[in-house]
Amino acid sequence: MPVLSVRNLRTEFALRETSVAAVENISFDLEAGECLGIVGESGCGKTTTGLSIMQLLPANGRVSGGQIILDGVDLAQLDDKQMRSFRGNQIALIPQDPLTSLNPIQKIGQQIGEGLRIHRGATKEQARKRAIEVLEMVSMPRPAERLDQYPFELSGGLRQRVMIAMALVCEPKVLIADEPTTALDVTIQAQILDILDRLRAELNMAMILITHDMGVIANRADRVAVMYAGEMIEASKTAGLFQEMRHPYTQSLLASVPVLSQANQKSGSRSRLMSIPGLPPTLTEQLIGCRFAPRCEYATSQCRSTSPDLTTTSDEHSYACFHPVSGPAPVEVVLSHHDATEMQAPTPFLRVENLVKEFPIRSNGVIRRKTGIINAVSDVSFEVGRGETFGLVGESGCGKTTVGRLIVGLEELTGGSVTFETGEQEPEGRAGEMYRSQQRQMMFQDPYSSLDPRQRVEDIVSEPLEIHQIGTKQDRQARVKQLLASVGLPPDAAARYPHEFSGGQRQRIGLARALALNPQLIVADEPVSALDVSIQAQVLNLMQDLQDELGLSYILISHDLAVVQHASDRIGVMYLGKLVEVGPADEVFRNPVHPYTRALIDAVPVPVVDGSVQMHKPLEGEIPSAANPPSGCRFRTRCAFADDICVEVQPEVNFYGDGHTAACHHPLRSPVLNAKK
Amino acid sequence: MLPALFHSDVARAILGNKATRSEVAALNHKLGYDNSLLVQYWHYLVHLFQGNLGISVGKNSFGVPVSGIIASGVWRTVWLATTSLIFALAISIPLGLVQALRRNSKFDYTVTGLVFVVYSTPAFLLGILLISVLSIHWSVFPPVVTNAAGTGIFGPLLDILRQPREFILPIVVLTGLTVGGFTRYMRSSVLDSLVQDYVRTARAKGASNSRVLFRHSLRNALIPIVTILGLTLPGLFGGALITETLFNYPGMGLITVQAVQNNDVNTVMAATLLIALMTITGNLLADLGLSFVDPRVRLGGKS
Repeated sequence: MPVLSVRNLRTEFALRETSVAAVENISFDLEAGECLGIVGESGCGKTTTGLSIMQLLPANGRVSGGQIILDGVDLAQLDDKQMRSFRGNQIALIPQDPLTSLNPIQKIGQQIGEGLRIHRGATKEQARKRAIEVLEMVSMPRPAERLDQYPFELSGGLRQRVMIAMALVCEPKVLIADEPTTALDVTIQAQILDILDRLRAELNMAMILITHDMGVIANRADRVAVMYAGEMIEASKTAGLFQEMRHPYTQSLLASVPVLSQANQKSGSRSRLMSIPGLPPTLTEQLIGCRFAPRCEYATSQCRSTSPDLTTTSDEHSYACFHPVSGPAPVEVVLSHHDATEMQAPTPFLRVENLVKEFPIRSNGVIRRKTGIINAVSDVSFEVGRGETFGLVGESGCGKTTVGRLIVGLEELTGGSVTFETGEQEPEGRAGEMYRSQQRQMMFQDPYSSLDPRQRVEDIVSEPLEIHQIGTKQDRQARVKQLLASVGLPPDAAARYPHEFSGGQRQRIGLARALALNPQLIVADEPVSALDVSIQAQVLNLMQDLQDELGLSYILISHDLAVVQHASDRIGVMYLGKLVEVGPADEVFRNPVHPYTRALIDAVPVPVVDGSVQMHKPLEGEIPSAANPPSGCRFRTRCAFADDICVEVQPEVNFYGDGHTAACHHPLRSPVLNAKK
Repeated sequence: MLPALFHSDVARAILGNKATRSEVAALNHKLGYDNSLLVQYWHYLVHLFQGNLGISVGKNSFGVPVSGIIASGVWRTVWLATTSLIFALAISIPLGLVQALRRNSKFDYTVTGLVFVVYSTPAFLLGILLISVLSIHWSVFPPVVTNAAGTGIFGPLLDILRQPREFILPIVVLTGLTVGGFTRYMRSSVLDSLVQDYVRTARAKGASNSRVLFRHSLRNALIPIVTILGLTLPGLFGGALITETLFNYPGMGLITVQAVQNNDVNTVMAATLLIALMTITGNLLADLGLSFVDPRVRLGGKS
């Protein structure tokens, strides 16, 4: 008998005059110890589903239909007071952002113990004891010390452990984890997901894992439900969903995720990501027929007029579609100009040598004495070829963004140089700024805050031209039209304001702005990390097209290894301000040399169900402070191979193949002596 | 130095129109006003750092040390302001809290309306209205403070405690100065804290509404109030100027007003310095208070 059984759940939000059904037709059963993954893009209603079950909807939301049966009790029928005795007791929530979800001014021990005090009437002592117990269960280092710390004293990964411990304190039967690892780095994500898996088995808990990341659920969830525009459109056992999906949306969604591949990709070829055209519908509009129909390539007039019901086939696979597909879409391999022959000699044209950036740490108070330095970037050298994409990966705080900002001149160099192969000496001062901005432009991470909300798109895109006093007003307007067309925006976009556009469209505006001066190099800092996968694919494909057309070079900075592998020709891996490995993209991923690169690749959850859960041990610990980096090799504190030499000597850069370098005392294979640079 | 800016002749003002020119010159020489501006300023600074604020050059209090004049007034004002601040907080914290909890209700709208009326009523108008209605028309409270005998630090506080009836009107006027702003801040601060993720976390634990409110929302909501509180302090001294004059209470406010009327530049200087000191103290208290309620400030730096 299932622990939790949801039937035809419907949740409405009251708006000014009407109400909108944010979630409809959700049905599933959850057995003890089972993990159900709910996936979908932002706005699809997956979080609302979780909050509906917890009855924690915002003030204007309510469950307006269906049943939520937990152990024979219909939670939808309970009033708030009755529901309270279930929350945190029988059913618990792990929210997405562990920083904002913890009370900033209450000690951790108190916050963890609170549930026990509420539901079991525990004394302070009992609550503290239990708090230590649950912190041990989530493998928190030095649990007893943590009780008297405040949330801001912990890193993101440790805070998420606190959130999990808090949820476990009363041993709930059902745990709802809403994007539990989205705010975390991949190596930390792997640690947290492993902890959740282990606890689920140990405590025989049922778990709902809500995520946008197909990779996270692929080898962890028993069953998966896919949501689109507030509805459950397909549900199945995990393997069935990944290998024999029936709904075209599921098919497109999986096809638009770049997959980190270690073996099966031919060197030099680039597959094109499938992207879903258009945007999900707005729920406030009246929706007739299948909600995916406007974006679906198989849609017929039936789809546009009638809403398909969820039909269940054998093997507990259900889907809502009139024209089901039968498995994954074939991968379309496009050989762009990046074929193997041309890859041989990429003419290097940007040379980054011994780049160093230090930020002073200043004491509080009036005088603000300099008390130390943060080594944000320490001795980084690499080259970028003409028409090449150089990917820069690493976890947050590794200095990759700073490198990007140094290259375009947004930060001043502490040491080293950035030069173009043209051999021209860069002018000093203001002239240098103008010179740099004409050659190198930046595409920013956040499509929301990086565009001035009070400027029209036209002004945003033409501003670089104005600053450089290029052309007349008419010329500039013509150029803006041309740029907007080249990034796939309609001409009437010019007169509108940024807030009228979706995230993906804004990123296109940002790209158009970066292209305005015809730069040779664009530094793209996490250009797609704020976007949903289907939109992400649109932007990545666009960037690739423009590169082929204009011969641009990119430096692609991202924490997402799959994105970087998909889009880059060569890759640099950074750790704590150091470039630890550089090489051809496929080569680095297939045959990494540095133990950190290996660990990073292993930590990435791959959206392929291969029957075996990845059994790599996740990298332990966290990235040390850049204010006080470890001596010798900076990775040694987390490295399995570290010994005395790693403590004492900084590793030198060695060659491991043509254009493949790494800095490690204990590389995963031996150096190649006669390799070409 | 100040007289030069005012174009006033201190000795002439003290001695009156009948004094001879030589008498005036002699007094100006004695007081040092015949020196160059820089020298006067230098002397003033030297004395200031020795704790000497100079002597009064006002007509009626000539020769009395300024520090003495101020000492008697400063604590009266401090206690008057403190009492009004306590009242303002005692009213605005619960009021803003309930307003936030019943957002957009009739209660919320009524209080918002009232708050804006109080907020926009100038102190002198409120004072005059109160006096004319409650003192002159109905004779409920006396129109002036007659008992201001208390001296020293705590004397004025004892005055207030012994004769609360006399102090009610000035306290009400001063409270009116701040209570509106505090209530608005409190309302928006609680509203902000109620939609925070950690409030949802508390509810997810099964915490009751009152537990969520008092253990999680309220303390976080008070953090911005503490900052505002410190910044209000100099404003209260400004408010005292009008209130004390109105109720004839010899605090710093009244002393300053009288000093200005009497061309007593040294006392005006001292009062100005005091307000500057108050501003700094207010900020200091706010920072200290902040570190008391917010561990991020207290333990800051390491994160």
